[in-house]
Amino acid sequence: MLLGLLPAQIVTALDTVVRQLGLQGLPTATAPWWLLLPLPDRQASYAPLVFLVTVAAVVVLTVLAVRAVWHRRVRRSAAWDCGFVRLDARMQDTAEGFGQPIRHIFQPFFAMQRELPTPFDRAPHYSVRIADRLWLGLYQPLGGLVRALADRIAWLQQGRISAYLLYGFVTLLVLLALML
Amino acid sequence: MNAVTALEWFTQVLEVITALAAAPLLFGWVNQCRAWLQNRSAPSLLQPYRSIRKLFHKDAVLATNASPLFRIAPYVIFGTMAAAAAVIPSVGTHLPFTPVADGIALVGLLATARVFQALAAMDVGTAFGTLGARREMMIGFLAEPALLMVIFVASLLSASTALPAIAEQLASQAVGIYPSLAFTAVAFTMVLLAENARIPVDNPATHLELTMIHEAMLLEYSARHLALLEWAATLKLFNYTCIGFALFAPWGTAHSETPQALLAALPIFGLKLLVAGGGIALVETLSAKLRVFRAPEFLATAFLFAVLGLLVRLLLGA
Amino acid sequence: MPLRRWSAAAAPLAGSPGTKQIVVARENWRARAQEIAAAGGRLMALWASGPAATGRPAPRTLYAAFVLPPGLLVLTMPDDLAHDEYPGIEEVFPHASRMQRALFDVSGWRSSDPDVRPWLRHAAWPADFHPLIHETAPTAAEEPRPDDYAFVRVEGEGVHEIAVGPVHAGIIEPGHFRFSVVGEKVLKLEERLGYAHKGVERRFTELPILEGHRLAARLCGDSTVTYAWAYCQALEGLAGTPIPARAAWLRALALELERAANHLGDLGALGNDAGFAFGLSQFSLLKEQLLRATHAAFGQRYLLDFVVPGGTRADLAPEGARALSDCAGHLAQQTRVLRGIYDEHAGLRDRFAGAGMVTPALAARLGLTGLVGRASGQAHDLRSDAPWAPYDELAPGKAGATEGDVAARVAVRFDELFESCRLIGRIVRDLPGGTHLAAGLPTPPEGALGIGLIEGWRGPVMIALEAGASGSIRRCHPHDPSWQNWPVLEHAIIGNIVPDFPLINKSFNLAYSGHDL
Repeated sequence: MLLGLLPAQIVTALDTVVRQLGLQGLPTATAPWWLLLPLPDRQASYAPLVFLVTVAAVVVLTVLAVRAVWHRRVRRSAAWDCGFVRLDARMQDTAEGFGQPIRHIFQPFFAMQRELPTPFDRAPHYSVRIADRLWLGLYQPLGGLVRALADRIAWLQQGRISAYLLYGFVTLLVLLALML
Repeated sequence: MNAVTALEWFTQVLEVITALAAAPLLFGWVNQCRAWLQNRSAPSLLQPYRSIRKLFHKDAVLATNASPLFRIAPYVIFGTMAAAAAVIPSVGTHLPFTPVADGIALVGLLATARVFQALAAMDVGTAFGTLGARREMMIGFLAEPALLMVIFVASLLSASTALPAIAEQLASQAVGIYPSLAFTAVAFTMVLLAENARIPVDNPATHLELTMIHEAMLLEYSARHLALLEWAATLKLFNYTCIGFALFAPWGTAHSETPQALLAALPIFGLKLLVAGGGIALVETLSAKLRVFRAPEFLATAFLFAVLGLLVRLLLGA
Repeated sequence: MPLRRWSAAAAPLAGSPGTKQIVVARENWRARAQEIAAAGGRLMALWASGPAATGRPAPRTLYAAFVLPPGLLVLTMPDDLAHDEYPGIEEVFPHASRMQRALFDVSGWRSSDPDVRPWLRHAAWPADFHPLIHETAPTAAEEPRPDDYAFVRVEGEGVHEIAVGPVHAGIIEPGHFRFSVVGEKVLKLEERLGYAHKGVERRFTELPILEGHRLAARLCGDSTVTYAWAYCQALEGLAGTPIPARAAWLRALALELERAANHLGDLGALGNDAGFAFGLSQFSLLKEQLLRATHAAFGQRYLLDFVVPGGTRADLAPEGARALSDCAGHLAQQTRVLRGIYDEHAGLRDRFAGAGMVTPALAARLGLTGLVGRASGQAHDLRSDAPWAPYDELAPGKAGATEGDVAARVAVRFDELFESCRLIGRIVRDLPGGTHLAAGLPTPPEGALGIGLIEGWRGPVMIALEAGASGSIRRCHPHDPSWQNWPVLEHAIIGNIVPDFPLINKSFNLAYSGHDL
């Protein structure tokens, strides 16, 4: 939020770090405090605070104008039920339902196991189990490999001081040999 | 404040007022063209104004469980659309508001309106509202990258992300068509149709509640709230059309700060609107509505066209 | 006992040619239904009859009509008064379920099948009141409460329901559709109909038998000629007076005009539901031209009350004949152009092909009938399977497809439209001379049963007419093909997404009013 509204200040703060790293500074310094100018010689700028205030002002102006020109009458009534009076909580969208289009679009990336009811079922049931193909195909084998390697290497760590001293000694010897 | 900036401010105000006033006209024009192309007698050009006026005079009916968000959303959506009109050059390009927001901020602004629309649709909790919101978000998350990519291509060509600057830059160059812009123009047209609930993605004239996207989200609204949302929808179409002009047909806009230039720019702008409205109606008449799950493919194609435009620009420099 | 043996004893019934009746004992009821099913027979209608009397026991009879080529076979089962229930046949004919439930609602006779939820009865009258057997309706003590219907619930995480109707956003008839969905994916659709119930079966019993055709013509607006003809066919059969040849030909003309007008309307609406408004305006234009030609010929745009007992209300003058045959030729030509557009439009093809699939095997099992059935490989059309006059002379061609999707239903509509245009031209050209209305129909004998069976544009419409004392109606049961086809719609939507339902529904275009009685 802060980063979005006051980018210039934060970029200036970051600027010091950038300069310390020996890189060319960001061009922000030249702009007024409320304006973000990412590239100096090009026409691109962004003033989030002014922008926010303007949009808010336009919204408020709209509210006022509508109230001034027309009326403010409001009635409350039941939501539209298509003439079917018995609506219940089951008729609200679920999270699963809301995400279904995305799941459908990215179907190739999911390994889905679905149990779908048929119209002949007297007591229909639905269930779905979703797994990530990338997880199954890439990360899980990689994880397995790392674990297997770790298991192999584990014998090195025997917990005896003398063994670790030995490792240190051997390492030094190798380094010495390399130096020479 | 000197005379030049005064005139710039005048241009700015003129742009927003033109947008507010002319947006329903563009909508009516598209409807009229559609009717003609379908062999029907057309409703009056002024029909959208009449509908909006009628709605403003009615008593607002709110669902008993509607929250304040539901009531404020139409104002926010209308406000963002009006603010967006300030960033997009339509008649002139010298706009004092330009440094405040560029094309990327504009896309963000449109996204804000979308989020409010979807939240308001889900507020009452009827099946149709959420159904519309769900589809709108599906369309939205695919259309936004495509629109951004279109703006990137144009900004690569003109070295700016601010729309007025892009328009000015592109118009000042020798007349010639960039192949990259041709690709992005196709992409942009597809995004425009999808974002404005036009056929082939949505059907603005449908009465089938199960197939709706935009209309489903407005189902619980009435009176002045609905009027604002309808007006905002016409504004959105107007804004998108003007973005299209800025990127692909920037000729004829006033680049200097003289009243004469502005006066000369107005009829050209009107002519461009006429042509664009006819074009939209033609596309809508020729196509059928896509299956809902074909819409992602449609938008992915739009994105691909935009990327193609970007690649043509980067690799071939064309 | 094989079907051939026991059905040989069937006695012919009045009305539709080839209709027979046989009495079956209660214990044989289900077995006979199974044998009919095994022989390729299809359940057409199920109804009960008994004099309106107060309280039991009253002699009542159960009827089931089966289409068994070459005609209709009506099984009759007298109540043995020892059992409260009759044997249900839902296992054999799945679409019998709703007919049995409706039968209980109006006639108070329960089947032994498990589904005992009301079908036609909503909350408007109490559960123990049955309009066809009880004399007076109970006085409503309070406002009817909304009906608490037990919809089948799909269990599982993330499943939610979309309740659509009975009031829809467009101007269409009332029906409630309950979708169990996950997002856009439809898991189950359940229909709840009966909103257009208006008590016509009871009303028939209050009318003179010679005037019942007017009520029949008002059962289902889009099939007014079909219903009126079915009623008159039954009535004329009972009275034993054949109609003049010219009247039969004029009725066929009216039936084909009705078919053409409905197909034109549907084809336009199907385009519109796929977002192709151009199709709607073009087909609306053609439909309007047809209606105007009809008006020029008969003084009516839609032929309500055109079919009357003994013949037709109006005759066809030479100018009218010319208007109709010109219009039919023009229609055929224009429709051919439009069919080219529908077939080659990539967007439309994509919407139509593969949507709302009903395979021929499923269609046969569920008894899909009429136009929709013909698109799913059920090549039945009474006009050619069991032709009545004048269709025995006209020999209409039978349209058909086996794909069973929306595209197939569109194709069958086009084919039938062309055939209807041809038939209109042929009838107008070869119309026999003579009178169009036989004078003075005698009153049918009391207790006789007549069957009217007409292939309307939607499918076969049946009317069972039982004469009462001194020119009254004892029982009249109209049957719409939608009874068979509504349940299949619940299957057709599976595998499709929510926004495709309106298109699939439109491609079926089933009746509400004709079904809800």
